[in-house]
Amino acid sequence: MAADDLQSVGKCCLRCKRPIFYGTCAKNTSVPLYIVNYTGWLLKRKEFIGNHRWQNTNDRLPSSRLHLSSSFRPSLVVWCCMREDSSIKREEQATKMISPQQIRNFCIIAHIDHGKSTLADRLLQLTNTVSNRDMKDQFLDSMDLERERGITIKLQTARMNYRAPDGNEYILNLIDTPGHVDFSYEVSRSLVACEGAILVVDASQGVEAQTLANVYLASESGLEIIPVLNKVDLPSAEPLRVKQEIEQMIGLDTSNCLEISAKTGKNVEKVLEYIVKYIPPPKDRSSFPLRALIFDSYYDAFRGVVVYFRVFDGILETGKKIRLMNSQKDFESVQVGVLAPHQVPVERLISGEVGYLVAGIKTVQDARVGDTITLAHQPADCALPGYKEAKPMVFCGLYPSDADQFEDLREALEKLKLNDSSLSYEPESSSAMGFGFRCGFLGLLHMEIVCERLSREYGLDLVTTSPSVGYYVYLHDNSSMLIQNPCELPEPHLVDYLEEPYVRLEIITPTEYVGPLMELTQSRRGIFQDMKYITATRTSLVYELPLAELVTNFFDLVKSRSRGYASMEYQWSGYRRGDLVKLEVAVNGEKVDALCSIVHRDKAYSIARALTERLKELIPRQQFRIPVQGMIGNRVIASEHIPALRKDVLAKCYGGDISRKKKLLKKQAEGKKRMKAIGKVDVPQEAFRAMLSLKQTED
Amino acid sequence: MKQSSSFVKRLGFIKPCLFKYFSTRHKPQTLFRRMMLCHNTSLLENTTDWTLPKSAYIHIPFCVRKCLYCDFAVVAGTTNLNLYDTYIEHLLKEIETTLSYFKRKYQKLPALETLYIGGGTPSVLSYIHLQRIVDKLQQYVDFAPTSEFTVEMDPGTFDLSKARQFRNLGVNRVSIGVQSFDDNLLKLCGRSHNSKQVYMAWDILRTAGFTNLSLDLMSGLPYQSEEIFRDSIEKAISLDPEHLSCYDLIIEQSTPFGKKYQSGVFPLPSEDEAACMYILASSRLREQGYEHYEISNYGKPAYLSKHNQTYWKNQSYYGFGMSATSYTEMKRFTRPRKLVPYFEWVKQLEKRKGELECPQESLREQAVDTLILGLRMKQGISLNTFTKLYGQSISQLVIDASQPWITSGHMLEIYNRNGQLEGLALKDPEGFLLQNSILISLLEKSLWTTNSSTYPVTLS
Repeated sequence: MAADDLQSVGKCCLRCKRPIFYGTCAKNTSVPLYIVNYTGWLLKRKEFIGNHRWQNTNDRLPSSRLHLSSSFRPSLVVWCCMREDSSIKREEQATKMISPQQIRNFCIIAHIDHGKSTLADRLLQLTNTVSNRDMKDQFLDSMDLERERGITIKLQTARMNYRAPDGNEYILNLIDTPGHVDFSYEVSRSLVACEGAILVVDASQGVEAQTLANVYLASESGLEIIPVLNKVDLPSAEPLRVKQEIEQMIGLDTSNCLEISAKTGKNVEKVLEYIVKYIPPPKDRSSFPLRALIFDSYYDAFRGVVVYFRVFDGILETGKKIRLMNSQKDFESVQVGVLAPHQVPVERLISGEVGYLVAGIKTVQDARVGDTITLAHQPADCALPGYKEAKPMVFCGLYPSDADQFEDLREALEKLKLNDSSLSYEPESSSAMGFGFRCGFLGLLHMEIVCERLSREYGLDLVTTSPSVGYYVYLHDNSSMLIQNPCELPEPHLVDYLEEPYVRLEIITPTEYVGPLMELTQSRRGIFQDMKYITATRTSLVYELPLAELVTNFFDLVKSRSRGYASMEYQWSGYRRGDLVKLEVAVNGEKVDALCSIVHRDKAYSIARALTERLKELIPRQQFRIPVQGMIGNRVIASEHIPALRKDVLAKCYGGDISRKKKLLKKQAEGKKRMKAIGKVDVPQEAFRAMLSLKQTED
Repeated sequence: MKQSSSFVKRLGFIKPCLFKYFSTRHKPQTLFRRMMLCHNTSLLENTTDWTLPKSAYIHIPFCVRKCLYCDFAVVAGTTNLNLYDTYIEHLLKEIETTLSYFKRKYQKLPALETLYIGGGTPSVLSYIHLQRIVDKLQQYVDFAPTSEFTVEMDPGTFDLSKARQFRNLGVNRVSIGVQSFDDNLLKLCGRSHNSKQVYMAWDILRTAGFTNLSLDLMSGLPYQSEEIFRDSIEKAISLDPEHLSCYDLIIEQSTPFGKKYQSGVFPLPSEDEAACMYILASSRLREQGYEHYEISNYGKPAYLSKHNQTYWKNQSYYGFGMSATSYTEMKRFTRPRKLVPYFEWVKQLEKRKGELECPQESLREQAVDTLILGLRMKQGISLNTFTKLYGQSISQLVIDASQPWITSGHMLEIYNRNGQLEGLALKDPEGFLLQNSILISLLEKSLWTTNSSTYPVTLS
């Protein structure tokens, strides 16, 4: 950008009216101008853009979005944060009136690592939505964690302007979806917001479990699916075989299937053409009462909750009173805009468009994904279908390893909750672990992410208990209750029966690993449902499996049994009655609540044995013999004992040794302080950590 | 020379009468009452006496070679006699400066009842060196007629003439570092002698006329089985020493053993095996008529180490030489552990005219020390003395804290004839073996608690 583009410079911008320089600069003085990153109050990058001659002191920068960095010094160097003018042009375009016929809403679905985010990157670049300068890999994965792990957790949305070869202008809304089953509800909502989906399949790996699961979801939502083979540049690519798999397993016509390489950019422009050609435009329902579907929301510290939505019926305008139909709350729409992919405010969004809304909403729970936005004074008759309350499936206890961090943990969870309505937590105290929280998650990945974010973003050192699931307990008096913590299970004589959650598990594996995988699944109480030979070398296995078995390192074992080649996917399939018992561990006759678990009766013995043996190793000897028992009710099913301590370090103690001796005693006493007392027995904190992370069935 | 021979005449033989109550099978009560009286007289009624030491420790850091488990302040392998001389010069300077400071301050110093020359290996010194030390001490303090004068001597570092010369200087007790009678173990530990040399050394000392010999043994050495240890014990018994010290090996990180072995892991004996060795020594030696009077020490009645009991009773003592600790005027001070810093320190001490730059121990610290040290002894701590010195409330806390240990059979309560609780002691061997755990629980419930309202902060 040349300095000539700037007609006048004097105030930072219309909004803040900050003078752009101090001091000695006189009229008609030439000053150097720099641009800094748009996002940064922190100067990340400074780019010299030329000298500029001041016209007069009241001159202003041309765009309202040109902001002066706070870090500029009273010198002739001007640092103003501004974007390239091409982006300004894009924004102007974005605000232009459009008709639904020009809109295409689509998403990209793929198995992990099949190149979804890379393809999204290319599309953004091809349509000049993001300049090459701002481009970083996996642009839409904004969390560090996402980029690091190569997964998409939080969905992102981008609006692209595309001039098709036929000369027409189109608006393409890419709704990026999270790829994991834990977020399947979120995925299903964002799928509903689209009319079509690009199915990305790795040309060497072929169809994987998640590909299938996503395709099912997409076709359930009635989406037009465009299969695309990615990574065809790889030497191991087998487009023919994979096409065959797509036809056989998914039933899609692959005769004009695109073969692309998102990495090299090969054929990516064709993807855009296909989108315009094959994905239907949204129906024009602007005359109906407003109905817009929330498919994502996040919490912004300054503006409250920012909601991403897709307008189905009617028109959403700035300044109108809106109502969220499921939470039954009214808000004033403060700002409506499009995601270009930076937020650009517009006056109104018509039916078929995708955008964001700021309406002074305080928590994400008020604007849950799946909720419907309508107008307060002219509400729609009924909400859009498909809204569900978040239901945690996997639970674990989170305890700060330093008891002083309890309040910090509470604060961190509150903050995360602002952004993640599916996270639930309640305070819990355990005699062994102290104070902490019992948290509920959508699934294992969700749990892992929350824990990771707590430690990474909030600097908390946490003890995580091994994950458990929720059980329905049916009592003899015909009442039932949902328990999340095994300790809450009522006495055995009160309980009629227990129900536990099951999942429908699909494993896709090279045929040679079918044996080991079936063995594994059977040992995990899996109920065989189906087995299909997809191609000569690939097989799909379908099982009903208790979720409790899945949450304990099942995935790792699937990977190791198949040397990493199998992929798996699961869906909730409801609760089933099971022969379950509460297994408790007693140390010196005292039951340890932190080690309590609900297990299948057949497995209780081996688990109890493993637990007691492990505890025997972990608890240091004390002055008396300590029995360690695994119990069901009052029946001891496994027993070990820790022999009494026989001997301390017997230092000789002459003249100079007394201060050393005192130090030794202090040190030993310090060590004791870090232990938790169970009755008379001191158990080191590490023992609990080790126990709770103990893989319950070592294979 | 003349001076020292007159000293020998005055010294005579040790009179065992002081400790005669250990010899007969008195009930512990009686024993305790007497101990208590003894304490009271010396500790309270005559406070000047209490703060002024009657014992002295002198450190000689030189060794033929350094044992692989040893982390003492030792200068090994030097044959440079100049270095010996330089060290002795500084040592004498320190003795002179310190004792003249005390003399100036208190006019009359009580006679030394015990003198202990330890190391290192003091027996590498020549008779001349030792004589200079003794002479220097005698310029300032008398030796009590019954005084105990111990020198540590290692096999292979002395001959008959040196032994005789030492004896003529007044040495009347020798502690001989044997450690084991198993030649493989001795080699493994990097000892500079073998078992044959032990027997030779023993004969030399007996021939030289020593009637109070102490023998050091070690348990818990790498590859040492209970059998090997039993063998060493039996061989030690057959030599009929007056006193035995049995130390359980402690692996110190800074030593070659520390880098090579891990406590409780093969080839070191497991906790259980080490405990068995300890119990073996305790039962076997008591069977032979030795009194297990301290955690690691055994003595025939009347031959218990007077010097070491000074430590365990938390009484004051002089300390001279590199790395030596002294406990004078309630100041516990450890000298530098390296030669050159020690020499520098002696020069500084001269400039300060012998006054130590070191804070006095608080009453609380003293109470902690008394407890830690006192419970090492079979006789334990006297509650009367403890109460008088440190207050009723602390004493009561200690008594309360010891209740669970008494119930579990690790501690003993000692009652006097009127049925009053007079003392607390650890039980042999259960309590001795768990000394640290017991001490921690007692201290945590008494002296380590932060609540000091019931407790006088400084010594009046």
